[in-house]
Amino acid sequence: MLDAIATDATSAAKMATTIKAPLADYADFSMRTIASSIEVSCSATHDGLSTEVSRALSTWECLIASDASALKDAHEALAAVDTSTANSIYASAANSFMGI
Amino acid sequence: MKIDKTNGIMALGAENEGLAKQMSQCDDQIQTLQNINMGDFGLSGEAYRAIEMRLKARISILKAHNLAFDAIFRANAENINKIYALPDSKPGVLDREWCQEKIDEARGNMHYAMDKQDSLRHNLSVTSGTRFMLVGFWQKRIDSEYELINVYQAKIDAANTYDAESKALYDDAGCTVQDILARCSDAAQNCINTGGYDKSDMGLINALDIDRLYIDARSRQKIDAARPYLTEDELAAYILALANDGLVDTEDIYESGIFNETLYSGLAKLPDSCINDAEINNLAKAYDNMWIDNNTEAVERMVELSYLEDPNLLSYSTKNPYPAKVFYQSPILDRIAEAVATNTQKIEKGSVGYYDRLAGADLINALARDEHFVFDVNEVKVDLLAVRAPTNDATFCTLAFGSEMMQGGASYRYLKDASTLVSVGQNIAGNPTIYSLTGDLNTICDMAADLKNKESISPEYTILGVDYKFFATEGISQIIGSIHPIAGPLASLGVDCLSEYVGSKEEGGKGAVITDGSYGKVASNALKYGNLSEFGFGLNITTDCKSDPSALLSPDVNVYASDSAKQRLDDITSVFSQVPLPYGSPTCTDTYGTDQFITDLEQNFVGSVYPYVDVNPNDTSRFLSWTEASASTPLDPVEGSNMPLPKYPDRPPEGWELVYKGETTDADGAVHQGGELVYKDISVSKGNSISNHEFFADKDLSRNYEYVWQYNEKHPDNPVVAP
Repeated sequence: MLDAIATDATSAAKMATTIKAPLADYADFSMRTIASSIEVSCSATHDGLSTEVSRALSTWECLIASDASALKDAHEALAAVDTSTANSIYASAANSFMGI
Repeated sequence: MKIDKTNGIMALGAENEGLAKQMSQCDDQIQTLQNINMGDFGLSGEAYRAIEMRLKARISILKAHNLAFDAIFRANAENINKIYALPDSKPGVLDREWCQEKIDEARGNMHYAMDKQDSLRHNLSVTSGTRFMLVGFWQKRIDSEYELINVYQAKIDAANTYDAESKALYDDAGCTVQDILARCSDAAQNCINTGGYDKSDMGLINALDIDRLYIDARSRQKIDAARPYLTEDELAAYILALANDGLVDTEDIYESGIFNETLYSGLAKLPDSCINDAEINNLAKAYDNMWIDNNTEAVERMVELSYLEDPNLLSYSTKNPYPAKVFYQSPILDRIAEAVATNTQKIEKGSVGYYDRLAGADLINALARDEHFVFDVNEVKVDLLAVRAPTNDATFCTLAFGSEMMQGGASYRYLKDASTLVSVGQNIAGNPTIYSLTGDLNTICDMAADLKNKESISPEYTILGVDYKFFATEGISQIIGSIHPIAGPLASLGVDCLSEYVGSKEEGGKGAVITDGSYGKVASNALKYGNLSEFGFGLNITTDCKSDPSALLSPDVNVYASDSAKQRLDDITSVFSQVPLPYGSPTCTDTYGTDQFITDLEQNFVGSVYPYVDVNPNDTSRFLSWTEASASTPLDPVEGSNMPLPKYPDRPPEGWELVYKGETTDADGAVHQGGELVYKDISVSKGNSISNHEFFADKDLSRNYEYVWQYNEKHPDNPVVAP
């Protein structure tokens, strides 16, 4: 059975904020560079990981931002259908009152 | 090749701090997504369900992040250890080229000395004694340079070994990290591109057994963090508990009547950060299950193990030549108590084992609050006695630390604050005991009266976890002894009232536990309120010693209610919030609700249930007065009239009254119009008096009626309205 539909802009925004809240700190992480102080070949390998770490965090941030945006989109779509349905009903009632 | 050991270690150490934070944030986000529920935010429907599913599918990516961070963290830690072990060429630095230069220089010096030595051997102009001395001198120089060469060569060898080993180290980590992170980025990008929310959109992450890898990584991290605090046996029990899913589960602690003491004693020693909230909740469930099983022996042991010995402190007293150990409360106890209290709110009143579980919740909460004393004993020994009323709706418990049966007794000291062991006042010798009475108010009072009268204690009382023989001999005397010190605290909480409630024994009543009449009407008053009947109450009293029963450590009242009981109360408080003075008040009408109701009862019980006692009556006392008041309009003097009621002068000039919502046929078949005052059908069907609580709790009744503001045009104070 389908759930009853319940939506409102404030709740959707609150939910979006909840999932986005940890992102700023999380995605801000960057690795240190050690090749200049530890001149061995492993340091280059270590420093080379930095790019992949940054890329992973950056795509994660984009992903969650898109999910947060989906919440807003869902609310707007549901609200639009509600308004549109209500308008149809009002129009239909007015037509029948006027005998159209 | 130059290795700046100081700066390198600092950089890697700082990076690991950041990685630890990243892993912790990763776990927090995983918890958030796992527990996310759109319904909690008031959002429902298939669209939101799809987004919820999509968010939960993201967890795999976070777990993969955690694995990658963990791999780098471990490689860094090993790298730090290797660098730390390296020799210095100059303070804090190992410079391979500089070492080589030193070797070359030493070799040069050595060759020079060898040449000198050689030329001396062939120089016949020097006397043999002098030659011998000079050859020896140059030999020492050669040996010294040779030694230097070895020293610097060892440093170079160490640097080369480190170079080779660390390369392998980061190659391993690099391979894993590069691979996992690349899969994460690709999966995330794929989801962004396709809007996907299914597991299939996770791409190559699916190829990894990410859940298992994550559990293993988390377990390893947890075990490493816990290792310094645990004994060998405790660590083994901990490792075993984590093996399945990386968490300490309820069954790991308590299953089929068996309490895993070794594991719990280890957990009690761990810092807060080592045990997450899910595990605390599992421990709370284990404690709850002990009460469901009536396994008070396990409860006793769990409480005993919740007090930890301070290895650095011993207590001395002039009376005792042998110093006692000092025990303090484990931080785990407070967290478990909080989780037990939260879980108890979800249990429906009247369900099987409800009152035993309530008693358990009450006891552990009372213990957790008593953080201001430490025990000076050689061993924390707890003696628990729990008695359940025959009606199954009240439980009485005593939890004594160091009973008479224990050698040496116990003493405890107050702490100035939780973090220091500064004692205030003298050490008080005695047996700190917690008393707890749980149930609804009616049965709490009833049971207290029964327990006061020795002869009324009969086998019909259930003694939880204690055999009847013990109860019949020592148990009864313990209860009788316990009831007396509990009397004073109960009186001060205002729940005694038994003098009025049960009547005197001579008159055939059960006899009053307390004759103090200062709050005599409180509980009897409380018993009338329908709202209170759906709530469980826990009264905890901790006395510092039996000789001073009035000294309370924790005069707390715990209120327990299920979600459904709260929902019913929500319905009624929402009506009340619309009712103006004298029952409502301008300060409470907008915000008063179930939460405030519970807070008032917990913080000001007397003022809430008995508004006439001068102890800060509050919104809840006004609410309870309103629920007790009659919902129906007073009977009309024209008996049987089914005409719209006139407004009589003896009614207020204006006020809230109950009217029919629309055309309604009453119990007598009479038809009433919407807006007409309600008076007769409720009176006939429910008797002459129906309280607001009864009325609004009954959906069938409240469906047809509503409260509206009425203007009494017949009241003398109101202007006469022309016909």
